[in-house]
Amino acid sequence: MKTNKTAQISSIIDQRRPLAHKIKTVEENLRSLVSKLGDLEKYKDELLAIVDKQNIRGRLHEIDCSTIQRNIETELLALTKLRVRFERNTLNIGVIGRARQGKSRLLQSLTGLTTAEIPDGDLQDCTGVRSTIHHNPNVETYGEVWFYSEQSLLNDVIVPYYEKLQLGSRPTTLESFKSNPLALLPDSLRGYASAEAMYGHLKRYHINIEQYFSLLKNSSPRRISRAEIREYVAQDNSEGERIYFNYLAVQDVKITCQFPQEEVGKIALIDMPGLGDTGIGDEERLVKTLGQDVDLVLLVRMPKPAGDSWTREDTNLYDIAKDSLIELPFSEWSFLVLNHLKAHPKYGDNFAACKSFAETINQKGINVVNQVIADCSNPEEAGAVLDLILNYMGDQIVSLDRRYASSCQERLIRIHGAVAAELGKAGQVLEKTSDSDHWFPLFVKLFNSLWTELTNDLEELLKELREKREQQDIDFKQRVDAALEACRQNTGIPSTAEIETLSRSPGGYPNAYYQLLNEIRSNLSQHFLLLDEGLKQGIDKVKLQVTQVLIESGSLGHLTKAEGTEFLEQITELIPESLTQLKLGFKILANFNLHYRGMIQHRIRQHLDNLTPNETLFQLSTFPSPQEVSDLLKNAHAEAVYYCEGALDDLLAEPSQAAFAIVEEFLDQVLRAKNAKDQWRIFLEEFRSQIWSKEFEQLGEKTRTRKQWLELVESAVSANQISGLKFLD
Amino acid sequence: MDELQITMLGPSGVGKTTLLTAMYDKFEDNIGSTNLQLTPDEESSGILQDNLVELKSLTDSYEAKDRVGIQGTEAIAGPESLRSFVFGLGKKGKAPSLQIRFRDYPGGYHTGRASESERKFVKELLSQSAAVLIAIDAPALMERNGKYHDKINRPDEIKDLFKVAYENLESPRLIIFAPVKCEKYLKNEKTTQELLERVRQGYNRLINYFNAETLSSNIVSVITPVQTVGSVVFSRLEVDDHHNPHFFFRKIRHDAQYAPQDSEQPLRYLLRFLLALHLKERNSWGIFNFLRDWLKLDNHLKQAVEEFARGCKTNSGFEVLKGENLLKI
Repeated sequence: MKTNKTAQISSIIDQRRPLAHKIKTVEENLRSLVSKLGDLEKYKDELLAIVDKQNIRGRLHEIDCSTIQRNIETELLALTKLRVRFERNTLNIGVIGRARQGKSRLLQSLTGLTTAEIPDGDLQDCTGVRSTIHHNPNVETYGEVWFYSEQSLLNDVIVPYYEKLQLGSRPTTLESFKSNPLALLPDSLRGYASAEAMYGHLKRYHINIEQYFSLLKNSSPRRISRAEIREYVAQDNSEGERIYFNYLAVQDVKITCQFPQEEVGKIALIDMPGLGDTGIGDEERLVKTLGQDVDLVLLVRMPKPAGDSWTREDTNLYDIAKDSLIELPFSEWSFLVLNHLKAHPKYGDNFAACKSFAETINQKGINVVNQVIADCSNPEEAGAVLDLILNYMGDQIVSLDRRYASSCQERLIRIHGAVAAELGKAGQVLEKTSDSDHWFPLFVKLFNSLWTELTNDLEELLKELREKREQQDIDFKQRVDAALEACRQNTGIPSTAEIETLSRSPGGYPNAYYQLLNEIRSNLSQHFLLLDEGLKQGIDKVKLQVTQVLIESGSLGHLTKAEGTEFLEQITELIPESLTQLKLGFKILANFNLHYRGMIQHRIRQHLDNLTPNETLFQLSTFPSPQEVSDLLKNAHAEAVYYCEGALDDLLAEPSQAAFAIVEEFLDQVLRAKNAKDQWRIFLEEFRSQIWSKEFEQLGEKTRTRKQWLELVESAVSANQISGLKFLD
Repeated sequence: MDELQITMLGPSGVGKTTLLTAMYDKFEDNIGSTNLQLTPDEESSGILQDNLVELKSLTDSYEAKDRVGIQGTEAIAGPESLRSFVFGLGKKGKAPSLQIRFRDYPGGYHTGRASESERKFVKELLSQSAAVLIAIDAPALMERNGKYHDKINRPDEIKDLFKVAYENLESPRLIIFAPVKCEKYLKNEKTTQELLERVRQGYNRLINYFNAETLSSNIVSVITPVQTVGSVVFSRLEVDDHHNPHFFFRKIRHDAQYAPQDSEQPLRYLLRFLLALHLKERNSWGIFNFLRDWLKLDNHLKQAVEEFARGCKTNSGFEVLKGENLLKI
């Protein structure tokens, strides 16, 4: 029978896998759909900016993709949760309860672990560390620890305290949290016990940061032995001395051990941090864990022997847990364990109180699958509780999974319908237009005059550039002069006194000299890096010149407001793939640039040999002095600058030559090549309504605008196929 | 005593005096081992000694020095202000049998501003000189693609001088192109060849003029680079706000010493040229009349001169441009 249970659990887990896989595909499809809707929405705004016709504007306004986009984003989060549940290798039981109710005792009884690994909450505040305990029949007990990163500790743990406690401007890095004193609790909150306690928590992160800081840089998980577990989950050692701080850096601990009970199968127990009133963010963490990582919840409550009743804290905790998963009623995946203290030497027996709690549970609106009275410290009684739960899960989880999944699936189908409705409207936005049948002769006339002007002006520009191509580029020369001036002004050569100090370290003058050579060389080459900007400027200038002709004589300014490189890039985008020649020409020009590296660097580098220790001809004499070192450095530096200047001098006309060459290449591609004129005609025909907006209707047949809108609608329709959104049959 | 005159052309500050100093020093150092003796007259001796002291101390400090700015070569004073250096040449231990006068020509007399008498003087000076040594500022010729060559070495002015002086030349002349401050360029074969090529390019008009039909057979021209200090090399040039170039030089090593190289080569060529003339029977001796008998009487002196003259270098930067047959001995 027990063996069956193990098999049953394995079977449940196996059944979930294919579903997880399908959900993943659906998630991808949904993301694609969201992006297509985004494109459509964006284009809708572009159309609204250019279209004047009132009826079209009205119809465009009626299309609402953004609400649907938001709904899809919400569904994506829900689907992720569902998928994570189905991807798990274990069935998970989450154990929750307020502090000091016997939660830890129950976990100890079920897992065979001791207070060393699962500390009692009796003596200390909860540490906030979440432990997951896995059953594996064939291993020695060990732990795996996941640490926060610096960023996640800051964002998920520290910053929420700043918000809640009004501590002023929050730290932007953990380093700044570490190095600055902690802001004081504002007067308005001082004296309030809960605020003071929260502040105490935060203070613990602050004053102990040196103790745990290095752990944040660790890669996770770190595997630890059973004996080490306590150091990561507790504040104190077994003698009760508070000497551990690692837990502050710990996000999660996974303990793998053999549960005493035989054949419990692939299950894990999750020890949820208690909901204290002092830890911030505990509630969010609890809800997240319950919703995503837990299949069944075990609530633990220990009524006081002297008489006790359900309190507000009980119902609060219940309500929080209940809302963690909206798809399934909490009453179908939660159990209550009433912890029976048998003849406790101090408190006496609480059986009567337990019975009374069991009887009144429903009156308080707390609904669970079942409530059990059991002594949590007794492994056998605890084992019986687990048996009960496992049997329930064996029978019911498949059905719960199904209901959960169906609920998500239904919502997706509704979204599919809503999308289809909006896309239907979108498809009808553009009416048949009345571009007259005689538009083509007009177009040909307009095109021919544009073509003449465009080719003339581009050729004219090329002529200008040809005349200037042997000339020095003035802007570049200024950059070069500035760089050389910087080299001469900022040599990086230290004073003789500093050289003397340096020479006192081991290695004496030779070492000091070689070290300084390296430094001065690096300093010198730094100055030349600035030339990159100068080269770019020169090329940007010529691109701008071409752009101006394209805008003024080619009327392409109607297609984009961008300038220079960006203009060329956007036009490249607009040119249809089929017009390869034209597109290539624009692309070549848009991407063209000159770089310091590749053009200048190697010419500079060869003149730095005399600043390179093993290459230099400037050698120290047998008995050097600081003055000699200084003289050598000055000369070697000045000569290097002199030769670099010579090398750069030869390059001053290069930007002009490059400018001419790239523009000539551009013209060859887009004006002079065979078919170039045809390609322009095809390109401009598509955009005729934008380029000659007075002459042609904005949304005429075959215009680019119209085509693009319909393409976007079509593309969204194909992303909205029902088959792509279904993961259940 | 017979006298032989040599004119030295070249921008002021290029290092003509330095060249002579190095020539004399080198002669004393090495060539002294032959049977020849070079003796400066009293005045020249004083100048050369002062110059030598200065040269040796120049290399005591390592800092790069800006030695040459651009100065005109125009002489303010008249022809009488010309400096000259006089050496006696003869057999060791005997009175000199030939006087050699090096004349430092400051330039400027042939320009538009020069007076008639000045022009005449220049013409006389050059036509009466057996040899002309053109000192060339090598960095000006080489650096930045020879950008400053015309401005500093003024090759066209020099060509114009020759044009006037050699109009009716009747006897042979030796022209020595002597690049100075050329230490840097003689470090390897590539830059050495470049230096030669630049000399040929930089003075191509003058060289072409020497090839003229009426002149060609009487011209011997050679290139003899002289490292006048040896241990100091060109470092860099910087241009000031007035666009004037400043040439900087530095010692090759902190502890390097004054060590001129090949500074006696112009003298070797000169003697070779004279010896070759002496050996050859000619109809008209002109200014070389003294040569007829100079060596006839003393065979030992002749041998010493010949031994010295055979040491003319013809590679590693040295080159006979023209008139090789007139140097045959």
